[in-house]
Amino acid sequence: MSEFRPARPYADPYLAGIGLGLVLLAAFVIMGRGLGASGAFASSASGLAAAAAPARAAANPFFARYLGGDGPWREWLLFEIAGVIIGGFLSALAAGRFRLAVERGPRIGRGARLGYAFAGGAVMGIGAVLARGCTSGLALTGGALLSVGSWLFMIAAFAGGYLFAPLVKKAWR
Amino acid sequence: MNAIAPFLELSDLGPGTALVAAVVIGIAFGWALERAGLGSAPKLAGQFYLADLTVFKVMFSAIVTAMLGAYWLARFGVLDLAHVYVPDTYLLPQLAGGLLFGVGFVVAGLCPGTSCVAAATGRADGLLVMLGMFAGVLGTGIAFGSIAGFYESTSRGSMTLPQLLHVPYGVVVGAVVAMALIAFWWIRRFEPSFDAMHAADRARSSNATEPTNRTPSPPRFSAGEKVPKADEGALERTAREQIAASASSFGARPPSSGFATFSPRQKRGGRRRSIGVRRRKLLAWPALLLGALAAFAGSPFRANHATVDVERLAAAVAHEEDHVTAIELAEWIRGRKPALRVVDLRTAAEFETYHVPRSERIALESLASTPFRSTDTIVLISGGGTHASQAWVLLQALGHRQVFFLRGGLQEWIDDVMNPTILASAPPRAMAEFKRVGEISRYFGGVPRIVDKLEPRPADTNESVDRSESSTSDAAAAIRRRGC
Repeated sequence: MSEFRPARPYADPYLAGIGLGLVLLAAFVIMGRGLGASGAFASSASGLAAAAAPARAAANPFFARYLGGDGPWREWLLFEIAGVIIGGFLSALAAGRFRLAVERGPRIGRGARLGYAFAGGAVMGIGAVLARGCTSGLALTGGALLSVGSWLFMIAAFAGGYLFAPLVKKAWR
Repeated sequence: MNAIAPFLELSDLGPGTALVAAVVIGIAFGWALERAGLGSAPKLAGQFYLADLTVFKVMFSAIVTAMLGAYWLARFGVLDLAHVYVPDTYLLPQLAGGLLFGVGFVVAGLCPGTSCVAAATGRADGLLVMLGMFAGVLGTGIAFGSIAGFYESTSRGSMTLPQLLHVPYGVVVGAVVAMALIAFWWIRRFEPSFDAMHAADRARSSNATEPTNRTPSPPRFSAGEKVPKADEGALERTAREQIAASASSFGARPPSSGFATFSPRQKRGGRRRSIGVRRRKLLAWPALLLGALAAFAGSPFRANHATVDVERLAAAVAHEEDHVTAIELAEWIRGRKPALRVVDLRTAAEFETYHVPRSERIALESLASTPFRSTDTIVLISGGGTHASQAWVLLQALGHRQVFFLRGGLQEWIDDVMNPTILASAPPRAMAEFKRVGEISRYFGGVPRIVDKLEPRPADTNESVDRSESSTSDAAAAIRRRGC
């Protein structure tokens, strides 16, 4: 078996970026709001918390925010993320890039990579709650709408990444 | 021309339509991320080692595209920007959250959105990032009580860069386009040298680890396949070539050198489809043109020339539906009235000295370009009340219905909420009311007092709505000293 090579090369990053920008613009025009991702995690976490301990979840101001209205399982971002999963799957299938695998750097084991993935995800979760969003909902959406907080978040996130990168170099390079 | 977009805000489409639109927009979002290669963790992590700048390129071309699109659609009256939700600004939480997020990003190699794409394309690491993210959000939510104070601190409302910098919206749009294009140009010039640096790094480390035969290779997959040994000589040759090539790119650019010619990725076997420098320029020129024009094309917000229904406004004033009292406002803030926007029109210095809790500062000049939602309840505050009542007319003219000004201005807030005073000889009914007011006052850190003799307040007359600015400032400073 030879080293895995993507069946089709990835799109030009600038063209893909323009495509992504047009999707974001469509969200502004159709919905009056941008894209998002971490909100879907927050909403489903609130739903889980409410199912496990309804009274305590309702008393928690963070969970309570997602429990009003139509409830956490009818949240717009949850449906959008379901779409992201479908879209990503279809695109990978069409380009022959779907593959059951663990992607990792050349010097890290599979188990360690999965540990890093979980730990990194958890730290991002804390950051996303504090900042009220992530790369999609805050950086991309608010960046295009010139929100001060979004640009601050973007600069801080890149700074955090670059400052910490040397410490986890073994995972990637 | 009346704005027709956002469709969901300005027409009668049900919530079901929104959820269908969510799935369709999500599919396009996921498709675009996967096409760009952003479902692959080593590719994203490469951003933080300057090995692969795809994240930066995709992100900023997307921001420029959506920003220009939104600006020009709004400028031509198709899209009403005031109805597009702008993420709220909380300076310190977003600074700290951003730093943490960046750390998590480089450890995980994926961000929340791209982890979903990675998982959807079969990558187990993507699934683990999703699970970690879920655990992080759930855990922070459970421990929310301990961070709630910090979470709500340094709020600036839906503040935008044009408001922060006091620069017209279109000028900021033009500046962002210019910065992005300069960054792209810079990447084109120096990316080959980053790549050469990494190739040399690899070549060096492969020599060092020769006895173990563990050749570091480009990001690999571990679905059982063996990583073949790389031809180290060839690797070093490539590195040397690239260093030579990039050295020349630092100096005078060699003739007919395109980015594509330099791209080491193409040499390594065409992992990425590049459209070449000429076509990229074809994309850059329209962006530059639209950005430059935006700098001169004025505000994208509608209705700077509005008409007023004079009779309706007169009736609102006559029926006293135009203002709230300080106590009413205090009750709204304490009761966390939904969609309440408390807007302070005073200067930044005065705002810093003292302001009503949960209020945001917006200068009178930028009031018309501030995006308010149709569901917002807006309360306007100025020092004495005159500016607030004038701003009330402006916002009414722009079509906002739920607008009120604080009667008597900040001075009344200071007198009635922060320093409520009553005569000891007051009748019992007034005393009962004072007890209620006192409770509200203490909530805001005020000091209710029962006195034997009322001291005359500065300019405590009915006809002078606009009290002297200095007396308001002094009173505000006194409260500040009290430690609010």
